[in-house]
Amino acid sequence: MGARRWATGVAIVLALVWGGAGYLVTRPTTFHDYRVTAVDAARSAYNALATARIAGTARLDRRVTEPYLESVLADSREALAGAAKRFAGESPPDARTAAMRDELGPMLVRASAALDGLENAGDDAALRAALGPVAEAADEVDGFLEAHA
Amino acid sequence: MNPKRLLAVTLGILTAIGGFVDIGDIVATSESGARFGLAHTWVLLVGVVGICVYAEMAGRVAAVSTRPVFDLVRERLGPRVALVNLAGSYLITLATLAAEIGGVALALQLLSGTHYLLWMPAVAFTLWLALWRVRFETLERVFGLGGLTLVVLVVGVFWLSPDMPALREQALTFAPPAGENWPTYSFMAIALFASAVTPYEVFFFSSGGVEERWTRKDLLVARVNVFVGFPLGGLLAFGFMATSAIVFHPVDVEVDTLGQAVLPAGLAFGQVGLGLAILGVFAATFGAAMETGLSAGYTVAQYFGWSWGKYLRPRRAARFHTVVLVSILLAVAALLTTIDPVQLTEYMLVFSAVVLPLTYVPILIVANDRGYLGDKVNGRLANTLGVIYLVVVVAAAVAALPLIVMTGMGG
Amino acid sequence: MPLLVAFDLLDRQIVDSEGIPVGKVDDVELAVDDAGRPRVEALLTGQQALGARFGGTLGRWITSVAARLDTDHRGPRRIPYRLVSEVDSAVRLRVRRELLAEPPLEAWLNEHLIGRIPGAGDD
Repeated sequence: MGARRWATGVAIVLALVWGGAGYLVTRPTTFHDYRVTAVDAARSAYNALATARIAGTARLDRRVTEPYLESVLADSREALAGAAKRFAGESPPDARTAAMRDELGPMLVRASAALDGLENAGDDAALRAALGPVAEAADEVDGFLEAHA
Repeated sequence: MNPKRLLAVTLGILTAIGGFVDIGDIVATSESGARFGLAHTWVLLVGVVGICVYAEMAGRVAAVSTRPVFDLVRERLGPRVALVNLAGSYLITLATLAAEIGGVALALQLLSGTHYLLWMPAVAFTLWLALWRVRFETLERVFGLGGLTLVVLVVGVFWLSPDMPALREQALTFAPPAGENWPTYSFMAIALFASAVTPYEVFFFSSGGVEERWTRKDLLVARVNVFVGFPLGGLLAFGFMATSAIVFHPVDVEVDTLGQAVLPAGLAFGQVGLGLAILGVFAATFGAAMETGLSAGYTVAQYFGWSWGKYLRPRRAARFHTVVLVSILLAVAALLTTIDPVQLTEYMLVFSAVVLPLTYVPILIVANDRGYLGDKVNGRLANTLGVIYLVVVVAAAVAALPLIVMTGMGG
Repeated sequence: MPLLVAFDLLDRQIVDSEGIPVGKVDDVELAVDDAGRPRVEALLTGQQALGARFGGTLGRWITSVAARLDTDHRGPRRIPYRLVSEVDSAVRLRVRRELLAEPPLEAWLNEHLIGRIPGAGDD
């Protein structure tokens, strides 16, 4: 008898938790939620770009090895891809957030292209050339963060 | 007493390295430095003192009673509570073991460019082989001293010519810097504190003391191990925090990879410095992998009363070696799910904060028991500090879960 | 010597004459002497004894797994109390562990796993 009451209690709690979780997952995104997602994605993108820039510059000065740079760039690429995916996964609920999406979306695309350039740089000249877009992309995203964070 | 024994501080150094600069700590302290500057320096200091207090007790118990501390947990708490303690400790240690194996592989990736998952099976096999055949003292010396190479980061702090007054101000401010809030600051503080006082450090240290056949005469050796090893470990962790504070904090970059954590060494000393830092990380994480692997075996064997230890032939401690082997295999399986090793330890760090009281309460009780320690029970200082830290540990445990929810795991 | 069984004996580590762990005191076997006083006849060690003491589903599971590994059906390992030399921080035996019955789990693992890996026997 006690066991059955226990089981019923647990079942009720589980149902509440399940229902609550379902509600939280499917309810429409608010402005605040979207902004948090956007800022989070922008921050990850900025970290990835800034790190790639520091590491790339260090490689030009021969302060770090090629395998190390490859590894860091791979990490940066993964971080950026994750950020872009999280960002794309949310739909903007209103006009303000739509504007945010229109601002950050293209920045993330440019960031990805810049990182590609860095990864594919074959020699020092290419590396130096590729660092420019990376720095610009980093500054862009930094501007977004200043405005919205 | 043989004066050469005083130089045998490698057990303390290895324990401390595995405790303070394992993969999770390396990234956590670097992340703290990048986001908060030196604002968490006091947490490292508090952590160092705390682990010294309890490791000294555990070492004393090992030397005077020739019994490791986890052995005594079941006697003091009873088999049921001790089983809960064991289950919690084992799971955390196992997850940490997985993360450390991943960390070794990540260090190899930084050196070679080859993806870490390709290195991982070789690392796991070498780890098992080292725990199977290599003598305990040899492991202590090679990986304990190898990990000391990380001092390159401490030197790097000065080599990078930072703004010293600004750093000092950061270190003396016990509050989050501009742009960060209290919940995240506190969450990070708890994670760093938990990383300094993780249970497996104490279990490993006291079991290691028994492996080294410490007796009453070695009480001084045990203490030297504690008071040299753990502050050294804390210093190395500080090296990561400070270099990240100098390189990443001013440009608002957050750190969450091993590659970023060692970058300051390259910026300061070039490829040689970077190489030394990565080798140091390799030794430290391998040392931590050994520590967690052995700890997994020690705790299970000591709960059930089985024979254990590397000082016995494997045939004479088959159950212990089986637990170690199975733990390594489970760790490999976990890593093959491509879970991020760094994220794994960071999760584990905060969860381990919750089970800390279960570990430290029995140690304090045992260290006061004349039946085990005779006249070497805790004096007033040890007990005062012990109780203070118990309060800190309980506070951290209570605050951990709400902060996890509030900050979304520190995000 | 009068002992508080629950406090002094149960869950204490048993070590042999060289200090090597033998097992925990998972349970004790009591006997009643002629005067009607109970005394400790033997120490029981091993997962079969521990499972019995745990009780409940967990205890039964531990006991059944342990019993299955005990291919000779010897039951929990029994150490006669006369083999105990003293009880201080551990229960110390007069004899070396080689003279006691090998724990079933240890024997099984040595046969099927550890014993088969090169390097298990030498030091």
